[in-house]
Amino acid sequence: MKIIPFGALALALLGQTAVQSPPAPDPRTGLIVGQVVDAATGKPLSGAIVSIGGEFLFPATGPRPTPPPRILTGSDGYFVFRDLPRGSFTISAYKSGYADGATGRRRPGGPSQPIEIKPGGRVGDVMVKMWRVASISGTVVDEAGEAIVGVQIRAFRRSVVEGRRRFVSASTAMSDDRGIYRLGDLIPGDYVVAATAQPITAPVMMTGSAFGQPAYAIGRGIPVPPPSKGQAVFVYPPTFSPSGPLDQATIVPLGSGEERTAVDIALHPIRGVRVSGVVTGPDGPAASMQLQMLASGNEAVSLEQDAPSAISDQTGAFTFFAVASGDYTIRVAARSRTPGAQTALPSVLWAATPLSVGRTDIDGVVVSLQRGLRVTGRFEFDGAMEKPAAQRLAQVPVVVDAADGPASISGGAGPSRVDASGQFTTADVPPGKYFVRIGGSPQGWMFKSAMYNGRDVADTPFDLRGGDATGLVITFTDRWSGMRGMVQSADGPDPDATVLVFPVDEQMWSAFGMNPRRIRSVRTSATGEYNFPSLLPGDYYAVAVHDDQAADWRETKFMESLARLATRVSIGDGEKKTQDLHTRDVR
Amino acid sequence: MMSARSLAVTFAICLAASPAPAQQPARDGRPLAKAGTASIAGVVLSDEPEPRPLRRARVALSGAELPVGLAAVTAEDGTFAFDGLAAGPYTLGAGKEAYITMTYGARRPGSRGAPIVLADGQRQTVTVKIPRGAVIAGTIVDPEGQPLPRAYVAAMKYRLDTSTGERRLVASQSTYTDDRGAYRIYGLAAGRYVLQTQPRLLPVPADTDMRLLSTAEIQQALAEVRNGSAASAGVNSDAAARAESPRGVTYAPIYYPGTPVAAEASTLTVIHGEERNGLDIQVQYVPTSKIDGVMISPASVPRGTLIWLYSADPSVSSGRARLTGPDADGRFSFNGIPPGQYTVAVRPSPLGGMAGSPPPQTATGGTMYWGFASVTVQGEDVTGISLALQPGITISGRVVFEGSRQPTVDFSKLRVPIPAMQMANSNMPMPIPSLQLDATGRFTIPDLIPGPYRFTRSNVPGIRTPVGSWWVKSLTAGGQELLDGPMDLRQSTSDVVVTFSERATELAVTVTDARGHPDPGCFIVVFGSDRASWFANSRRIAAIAPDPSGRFTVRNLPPGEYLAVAAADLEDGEWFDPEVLQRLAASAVKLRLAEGERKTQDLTIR
Repeated sequence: MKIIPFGALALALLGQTAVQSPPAPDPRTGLIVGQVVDAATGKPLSGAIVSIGGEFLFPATGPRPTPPPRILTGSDGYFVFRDLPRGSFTISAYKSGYADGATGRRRPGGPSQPIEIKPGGRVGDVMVKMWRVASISGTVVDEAGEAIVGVQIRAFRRSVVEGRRRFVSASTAMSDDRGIYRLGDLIPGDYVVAATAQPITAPVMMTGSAFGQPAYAIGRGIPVPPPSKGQAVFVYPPTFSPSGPLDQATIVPLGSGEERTAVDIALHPIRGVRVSGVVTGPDGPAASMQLQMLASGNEAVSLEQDAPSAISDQTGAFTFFAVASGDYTIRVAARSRTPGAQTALPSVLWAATPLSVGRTDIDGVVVSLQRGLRVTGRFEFDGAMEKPAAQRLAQVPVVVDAADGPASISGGAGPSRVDASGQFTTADVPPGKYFVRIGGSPQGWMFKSAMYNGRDVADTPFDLRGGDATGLVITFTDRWSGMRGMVQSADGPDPDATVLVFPVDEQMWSAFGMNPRRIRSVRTSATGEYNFPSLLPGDYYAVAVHDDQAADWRETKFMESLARLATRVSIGDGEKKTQDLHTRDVR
Repeated sequence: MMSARSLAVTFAICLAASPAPAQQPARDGRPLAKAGTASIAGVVLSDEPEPRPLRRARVALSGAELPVGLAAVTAEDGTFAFDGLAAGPYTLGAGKEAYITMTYGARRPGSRGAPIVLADGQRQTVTVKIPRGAVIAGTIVDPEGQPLPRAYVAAMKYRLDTSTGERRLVASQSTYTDDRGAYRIYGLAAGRYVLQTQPRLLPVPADTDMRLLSTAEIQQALAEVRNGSAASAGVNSDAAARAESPRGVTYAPIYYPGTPVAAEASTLTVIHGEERNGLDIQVQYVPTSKIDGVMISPASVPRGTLIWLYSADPSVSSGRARLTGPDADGRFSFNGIPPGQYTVAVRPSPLGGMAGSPPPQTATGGTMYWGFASVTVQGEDVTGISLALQPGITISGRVVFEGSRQPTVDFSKLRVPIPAMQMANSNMPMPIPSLQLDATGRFTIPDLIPGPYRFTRSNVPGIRTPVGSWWVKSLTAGGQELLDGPMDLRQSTSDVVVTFSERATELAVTVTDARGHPDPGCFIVVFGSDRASWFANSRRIAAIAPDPSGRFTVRNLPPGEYLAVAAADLEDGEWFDPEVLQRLAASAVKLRLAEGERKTQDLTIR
């Protein structure tokens, strides 16, 4: 590396005068050496793929540099990254059979902590821990005790979704020729295991004919039910290990690297009935629509991806061939493909028709599709800074965030459209309760509020029903507010803590959508400092806990116990608050 | 959610087939299948020394009288029934998970079976035996001996690819290893397989390098950290460590028992119901290389011209090609390439002239240019690949109608589809050439890439089926017949003649078994006795299925000497495989066809 003569001159002068020297030039010789180890045994891991990332990959000016090559560790687990500029870096490691590791990560899926490098600095002894995944295996048999081959088994992990405990799909596997399945890539947690796949009933297209007779289709992963006997048709309902619904399921707690065997599932067929009808849209019968028969009372576990479904034929007719008795909602959520529409936004047709199924066939069900609704409004910029350019405005994503329950449409609500003057229109969504939030603000501006009918609907959901919502005002401010400080434990600054922040208002501790702005967490740095660069003005609880205790913290009951230990903090408009905290034990 | 679920269902059950009277009412009042009085009932058994009835097996019925196939599930005793069938021929198949699907009357999985011909009121009983598939299992480990999860493992078979005429390795069944590095493939049909594994890397762009560090590099780095600066003593070894030229590495496909070369792999022969464990493979890293080259072109290339890198490995599909774009000077490079044989190519592109002048015409009048180069990668970087763009060739000629009756053809209105052709020995998908026909019947195919070509299908119009009442008699270039061998199109030619004739040979074959009864459960292969005609989609090879009256007829075989044999169990396309034809020749009957002759031949099956 050539020493820049100017720099040498400056250094020479430094010794002679008290003139302020320019910042030391960056020789870009930073070095990081570290090791990938198994978190449980401490032994080095070979065959891990280690990569480095950081701000240096996204310079404000100039071309993007090529990322440094990834390192494949040998039997000693070491990795080396050279020629680094100053800055902060995160190193991550990937190895099949392990949950991804990263610097500072203390638990699988936990937050990482960057490494700071001074110009030409050298850092050794970096440890990247990786946790072995755990596994569950067992045998699936039918009512005659015969092993079922090729059936899909799904593991659900107990998690917290929007303030509530819920079992969420984690992984799937297929049973082999002996009926044995193995779910082998699970991170630690509490699990239940089930055979949940349900059949699809689709019209069989006849060549040259416009109408088709529906066929009860058995795709991959769905167990073959017994043949019909007389009027009776049979189906295997979703069955949790050992042999029943969720409330009778065996909960399997898994630690890192643990292998649980003999989690067997026995399937028993039950009688079902036929449900048929017609689905119509605003333009008449709706062909090729996908309908789902969602069982009510399933808030505790998400079975939607495997629910029985049907496809309507050319006349809009649909049939579900074997539905077990119970209460359901027939749901349709389809993007309508209207070619040649001037708007670039896809529109949605939806329906949610309740249905009670008993022991007799039901025909003539009418499912009426309605158009989705939109939110329109404008951006406002409250502040002295120069407003963003028109193209930048057009890139700001406006997100309509469902307030209650899981996302209603697969893949999310779709993109919004913003024009050059800051008028926006969101994509279609089905009626319901929503927040309106921003997916990313223009540089230098903080998302302040989304006002609709006098309420900030980024924090409190509103009911989108009966017609589009118009006149929303989304305001950005350049008066940033935030919170930072130092976390101390009994031994001094605490590098292993995570700071949790949530509003004092208890109403906001549940049903807060996917991206609540005021419920946040951040990991402390290696020096025990924490920083929320953008946190809206308001009253908050702030508490620092050991990172190990921070998993799944956004649950209402847990937040109640956190509130008792927390410090109340008020952030004013444009205030950058400093608040030091002590690490608390929440057990 | 739901949209991710594929509707490619493996098997469908239609309630109309069940013995229940609970028929789904037809949606539009039109009955879907002719109501009949015949029925087929039977049992599905396992194909083993002591056959057992199989419950929950699936049975599928199809036939000319059924607009839509019917299906049923066997009961606890293995039985099934289809009622209310109209008279006519039907095909029945049975299958079950972990078993091999068989068609009734077939002797081998995958081959055509015997049709069940029903008369009104007939109650036919059938027994279908299905064998249990073979199981192969083992563990895949990494170069350190550690189990390798999520590695792709496939049981592959050699298949003749009729579009390229080559034997390729095609996966029959595949799976991924679990967290213990263990895999299990079940339901395999009996046969010979090659086992391949391809470990999975991070799903990042393939050309991000991945490096293995040497011990010296690690020691050097640790020393630097301890000393706090690049100690002068260390500087030399630092330079030495770097001079070791860090090699990127990747995983390449490895074949059991542990070779990267497909031709050296062990062949695994499995029989139905067999279970083979311990088929373990240890994978190795292979060094990756960089390929640098320059594209040389007589004029500026259109923006967006791409340079392709295709692997010549027979087991790699052409869909896995890499792409890059040349820079302003025509330079290009590919990173992270494992060892092997490759082709670098620029697909036909029009070239631009200098601003203001028209695009350069090739010597032959076309305007498309192309370029190929072969590259061998052996672990070191490859530089200096030169990809010179060449003009395409032009093939032109005329259409001739033989005989007294000339058709009045308005050639300008004639749409002549060019049968799909593919360059032989190439993994590259080729653009379909276009054909221009003028009013006098002269045609021109411009911008063709020189090379050996073959037809990708055997049912080329005019060859096996007539165009109107006309048959293709010959296709010559410079007087040489092109249809009886691979078509080597290397230079522009202007004297191609396509001759149509109304006279064609006709060969009718009748097949009887030893007792003189017709045997409908087979088909006939007729092939030229000259081995030179034994290539994919040759017009001198025909596999004939029986027509509804049980006769086998083939027309327009060119005059010459042929062999004819009844074959019961061939899979699609196997009749183009010279090894298979060699075997069939032993029991074939010789016959000779003169021009325009109509002949009948009897074959007896022993």
